[in-house]
Amino acid sequence: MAATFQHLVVLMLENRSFDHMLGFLRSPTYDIEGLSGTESNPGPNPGDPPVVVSRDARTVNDLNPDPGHGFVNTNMQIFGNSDGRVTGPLMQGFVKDYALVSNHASHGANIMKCFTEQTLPVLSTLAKQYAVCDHWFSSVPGSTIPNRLFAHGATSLGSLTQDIAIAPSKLKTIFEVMDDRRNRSNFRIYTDGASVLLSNLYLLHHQTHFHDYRDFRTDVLNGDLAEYTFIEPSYDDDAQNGKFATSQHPDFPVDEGEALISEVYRALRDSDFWEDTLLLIVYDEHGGIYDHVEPPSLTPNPALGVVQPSTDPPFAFDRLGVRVPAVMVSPLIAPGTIIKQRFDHCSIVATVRKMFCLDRTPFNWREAQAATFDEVLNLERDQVRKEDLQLPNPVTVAPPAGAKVPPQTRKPTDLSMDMARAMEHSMKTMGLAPATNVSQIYTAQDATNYLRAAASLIKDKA
Amino acid sequence: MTGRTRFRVLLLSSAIALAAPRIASAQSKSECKQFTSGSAHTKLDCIEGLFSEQPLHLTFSSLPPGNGLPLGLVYEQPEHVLGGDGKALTDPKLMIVGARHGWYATGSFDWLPPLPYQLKVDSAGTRCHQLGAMCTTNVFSIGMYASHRAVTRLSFYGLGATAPDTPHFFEARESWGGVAARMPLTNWLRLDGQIEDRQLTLPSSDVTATFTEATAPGVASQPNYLHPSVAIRTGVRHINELKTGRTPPPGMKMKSRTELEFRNEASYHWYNDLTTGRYSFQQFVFNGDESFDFQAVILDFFEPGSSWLVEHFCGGNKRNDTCEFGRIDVKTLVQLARVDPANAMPFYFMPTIGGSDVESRTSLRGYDDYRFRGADAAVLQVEYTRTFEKLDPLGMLVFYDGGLVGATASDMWNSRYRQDAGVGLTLRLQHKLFAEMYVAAGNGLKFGYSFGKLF
Repeated sequence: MAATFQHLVVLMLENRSFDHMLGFLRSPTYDIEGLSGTESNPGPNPGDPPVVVSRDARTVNDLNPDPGHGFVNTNMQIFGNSDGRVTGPLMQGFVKDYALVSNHASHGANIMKCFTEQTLPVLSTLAKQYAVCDHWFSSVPGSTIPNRLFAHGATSLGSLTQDIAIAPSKLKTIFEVMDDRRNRSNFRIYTDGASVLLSNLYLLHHQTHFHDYRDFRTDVLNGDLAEYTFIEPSYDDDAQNGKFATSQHPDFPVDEGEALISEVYRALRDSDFWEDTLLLIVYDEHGGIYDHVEPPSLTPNPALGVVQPSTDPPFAFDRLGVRVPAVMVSPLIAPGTIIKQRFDHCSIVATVRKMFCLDRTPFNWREAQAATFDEVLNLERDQVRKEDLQLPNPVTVAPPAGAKVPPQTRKPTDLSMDMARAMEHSMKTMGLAPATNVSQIYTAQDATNYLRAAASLIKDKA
Repeated sequence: MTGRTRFRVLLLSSAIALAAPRIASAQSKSECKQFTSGSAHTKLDCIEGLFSEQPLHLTFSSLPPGNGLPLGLVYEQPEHVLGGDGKALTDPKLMIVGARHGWYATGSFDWLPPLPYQLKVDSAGTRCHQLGAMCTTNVFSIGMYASHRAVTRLSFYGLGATAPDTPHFFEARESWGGVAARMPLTNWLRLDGQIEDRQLTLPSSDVTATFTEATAPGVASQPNYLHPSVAIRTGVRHINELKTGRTPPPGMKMKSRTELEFRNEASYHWYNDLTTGRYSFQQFVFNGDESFDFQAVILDFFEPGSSWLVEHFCGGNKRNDTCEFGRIDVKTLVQLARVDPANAMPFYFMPTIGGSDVESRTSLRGYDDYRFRGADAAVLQVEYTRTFEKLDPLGMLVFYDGGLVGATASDMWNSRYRQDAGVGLTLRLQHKLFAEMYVAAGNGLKFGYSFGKLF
């Protein structure tokens, strides 16, 4: 019988899809449900060439403005319409939706950009050296707050929005179940600034469970690791003090989140708890970024507990959200493990309940149907891996010093914008109608195209 | 909803309003279109969006005490940029707020330039940005700022520790702007440098009519200043706790844990009067906050009723639950001026003690705002705070404040020492002080409250 773990540490990051982060790890010898390199989405306008996935995701800058990832945007991305009707092939609306959100046709293609093992070395190394779950879906086809609520309580109490007050405050979480005085297992929540759990009324009255993330390593090395530890990244930059956010939410730097992952791994690896701990690195939702796997539908079974539906817009929480990266780390997992089992964030609730709680009654049918990962370890105790894996440093994917930024991504100069405005004025005076508007110039390439077209029009008229 | 619950929900809502911008990445102002017909979630989304959604949102901010609670507008649009060997961050912000007795406008631009930092996890297991021999969690930053503040109710009692208890009021219009650079050398040491231009004017008021250059230097004319400064900041955090590993020693049911945090800043300022030269002065400022947080970690279950300590101080009775015995904060603020005999330091740049000062820093809480003013000032505050386990997150506060002002350092140390003491209630969230209200006895009984910055 395979070993089991006694401590679970969950690090939940923000808003990245599976394909975007790990899809290009797929190879003939590493058969994850990743990318072949030919996956594509139609261009934003009829007649536009398809946009194919690419290996050129950068640390920042690709996803500004933030892609849409609310319920309606996610429906657009999956179904191509806002109300979730199946009218054709799925997962084909990402480029179009981002083009609309960013108000710029060519910018929509950025949603297909992906990282590689070279540009995302920390998460990639952990995935390949331990286990990757290639069918872990976000719990809700929507945004951060409802997904994080599902990770703690298998429901968002009917909320599909970014409401951070009503639903989070009322939610009964797995932490509350664990806190049963008869139960010997315990939990800690490490935060680096804000946390949506701050607004939970039960946790508000039990603040001693919150700990400062700066103390995580010290605590673990001192022998203070609870059975269940949940770690929040930092959600915001602090420009005055020279600090970047670690959440990896677009457009916060991905490399800072990589460093956070590495730091959490290192703390556990250096501690006495290493052989008894499972580290789960997972993302709360896809953030509007492309993934090629269709999220599955679920069959509600209210007999196992009702999941409060959303009325605004109507949704029964009977469909999972887009796939997200999930990596499991333990010295009792063989290198190269690929877990095909379907999970979603309710799996965290179900696993914590199964392993650490006395009350075994699931919150609702979503938790009851969620697979647990308590049996994920695939090595025997006497096979425990003793090597001390040194993770590579995070990579900042930026143009090398002195490299020329391509005009498609470079901002237009003030001079070229002034010239474009002058051209627009001239054309209006001459009664000419340009094909595009100056307000739609976003890049140096746009500006060049505009000036050329305007010059041609004026020349023809003259 | 009971009164107690309503109070807690009110406090909670305030906390959430502060937390909202960080967590929600709100895209919710659009929800306001359905405000009347939408659900409660929609309404909340709308409100959160109005106060958090970039680039333009509402804000509550603060003006110097006595001028009302301002409501304002903020424009901010931070952006990450790739360039050279690394990433940069630009963070422009414009804010304008108005209150009953004043208004305040500020614009700032913080920039983390793309220096060739190498992000890594060091041998101590800590993530840091390496630049040459330095490896620090935070990176080099530059800030530019320009502000204007016009307030009509600032109180002035005269100079010195024995000034009579009769307030006079003056109006001040102040503009300042400059550049600041902050260079972390280690995770506990940072060097700051700053240069700014500063101009304050005093329109006619009770103070300008009542006081003279002899009793209030600078009341007759206000020069333009060039104000460079340098500062060294240290921040050391240490946890003193026995390493017990996976398996605690047999029989050990609890171990002590003390969090020590020492944050200190020493700065030196040159105020150069560019107009007449006679109001030039220099100032040394030391600002310290040393905290001692006494805790214990439970290692083994205590039989119910077997430990008074566990029942009254601990957040639970399981392994890894923490017991909180309270936190002691010792805060010091020393401001010493150096003025040439031929020069004078304007009264409006002199530090004040009593209530809150012009930067909203509390000092002698048992006295009125700005009560004592002098070229030199020193304040010592000692606070003990502890959360009530049964009323978490509410807690108690016991404090002592003492302070001195004087025309010179020797005058200050020989002047009348003012002090007060008080008790109060605190609200702590995630171990950070969010709000406190107190009663202080110093010059009679004085009630006050203040809010801390959560995130």
